[in-house]
Amino acid sequence: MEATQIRIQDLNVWYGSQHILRNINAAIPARGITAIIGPSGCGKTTLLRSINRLLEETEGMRVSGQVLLGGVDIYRPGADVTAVRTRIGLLAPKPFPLPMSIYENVAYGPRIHGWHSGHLYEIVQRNLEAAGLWDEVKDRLRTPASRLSTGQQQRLCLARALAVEPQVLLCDEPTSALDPISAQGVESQLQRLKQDHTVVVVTHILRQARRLADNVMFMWLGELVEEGTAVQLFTSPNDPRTKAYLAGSIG
Amino acid sequence: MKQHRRRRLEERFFLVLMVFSTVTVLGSLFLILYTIIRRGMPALSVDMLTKVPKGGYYLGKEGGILNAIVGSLYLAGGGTLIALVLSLPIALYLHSHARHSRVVHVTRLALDVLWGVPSIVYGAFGFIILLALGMRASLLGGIIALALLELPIMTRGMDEAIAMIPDALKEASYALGATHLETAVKVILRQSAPALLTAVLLAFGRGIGDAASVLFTAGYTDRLPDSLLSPAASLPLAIFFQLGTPFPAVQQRAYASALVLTVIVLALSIAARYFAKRLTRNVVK
Repeated sequence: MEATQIRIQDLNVWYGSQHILRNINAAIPARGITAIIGPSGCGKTTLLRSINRLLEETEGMRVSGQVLLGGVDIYRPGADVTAVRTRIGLLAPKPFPLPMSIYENVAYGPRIHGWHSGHLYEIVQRNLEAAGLWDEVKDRLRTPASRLSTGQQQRLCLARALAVEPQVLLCDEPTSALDPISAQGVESQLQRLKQDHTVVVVTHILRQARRLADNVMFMWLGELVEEGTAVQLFTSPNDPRTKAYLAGSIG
Repeated sequence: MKQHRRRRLEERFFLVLMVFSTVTVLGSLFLILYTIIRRGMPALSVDMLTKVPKGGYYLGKEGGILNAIVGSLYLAGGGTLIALVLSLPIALYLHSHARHSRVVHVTRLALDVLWGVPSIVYGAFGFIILLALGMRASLLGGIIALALLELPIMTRGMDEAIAMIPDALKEASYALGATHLETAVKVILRQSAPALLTAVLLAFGRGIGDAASVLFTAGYTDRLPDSLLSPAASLPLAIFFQLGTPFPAVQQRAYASALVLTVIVLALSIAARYFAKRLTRNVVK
């Protein structure tokens, strides 16, 4: 077993008076793809957004517990939230390019963090290549990103996320807005990225989880029911709810 | 069957109502333009646009309204600039920091109340401030009064524009480690730029057309304003004074002045549309 990259301890989340995540304890290994599966509304996305502290941008969200990244709690008082989000990238379900050119979208992160100067172009090229988009856009880097197709936009968002060199990449149903061909493209990029990144994918498509995941977490009604390696969880789940969900009789 | 007929009648009734309302609006616009063009055109001349009133102008003798044209552009331009400097931070604050807090709620309410305050009240209020500062009616006084008048219009316009931005777009920026300020300046402003421009234009149009707020604060003069502290003329007041004379020739000049004012606002609207379109280039959906 690989070393643990992210450890979640006694995580509870409330939205107003609604208790939406209950006592989550989990360990996400370094590198590889961890899939969070479960039916809609079970708290998958909430759990994902707690890992880069994006939850707190929604008014009324309350978080308790710890999320340790490399042993350090990202919720500790005085933690720099922008530094947390730089180390933990996010790919949203629907691609939202920033209102600027293709080039500027990828350069955005490096620019705000003050890296760059001379070799910004190289950074942009390297990350567009890593996202598998370079060949399609290299001749029109200055066109607005909104002109790209949805599938291309999602790969642009991936390149943009990679440009700040995160250790962890959180993907929230990253292919749900895409056609099957584009979805396949994004999936194969994730397969490549898992060599040197910790990738966490939220999905409600079981087939996708089976294709991608090295590790799986199954959630049900705000609780983490079971976690384990993909082989173990898919072939011999321990909890009856996991069994029922995988068999298709619930969710 | 009866039910069916009733519903069809309803449908027809509301269609007629909608068409009638639309025609009323377009009709009024057309009538206003028709009136000021028909009555103002004959009095419009090069002199009218390039000269200040000479002695006896208000009796029908020589001169023009350059004092009012320049005065109005200075007043509304200055007022809009100050309002812009104040509005933008307020509008961004309403969205980036405490979105549902009490402060935000109270600020919006205050802006809506200010929007409803009649412009003569801004004029009277500005006048009292001028007196308290030991100043006279001046270009600066008028600019401040117009800035106050325009502020709520511009801020609420910007507020609505920024409210249209999807949360997911802001989150895309936060997720890259951007701060709220960086996101506001680099993402929110770019995304809402066309709508922000519209808000500015709306406020400018309201400012340049307002007579009551500049009556006491900017005063009126036949000369061009030569400093911020000297009085300044304005087109709405030029219209008012000329229309108030008993001479048909001068009254005609009032319509010509109205035409000039309308053309200025129209030209700016068209220019703003052009720029807004260019700004839309990068906007996401």
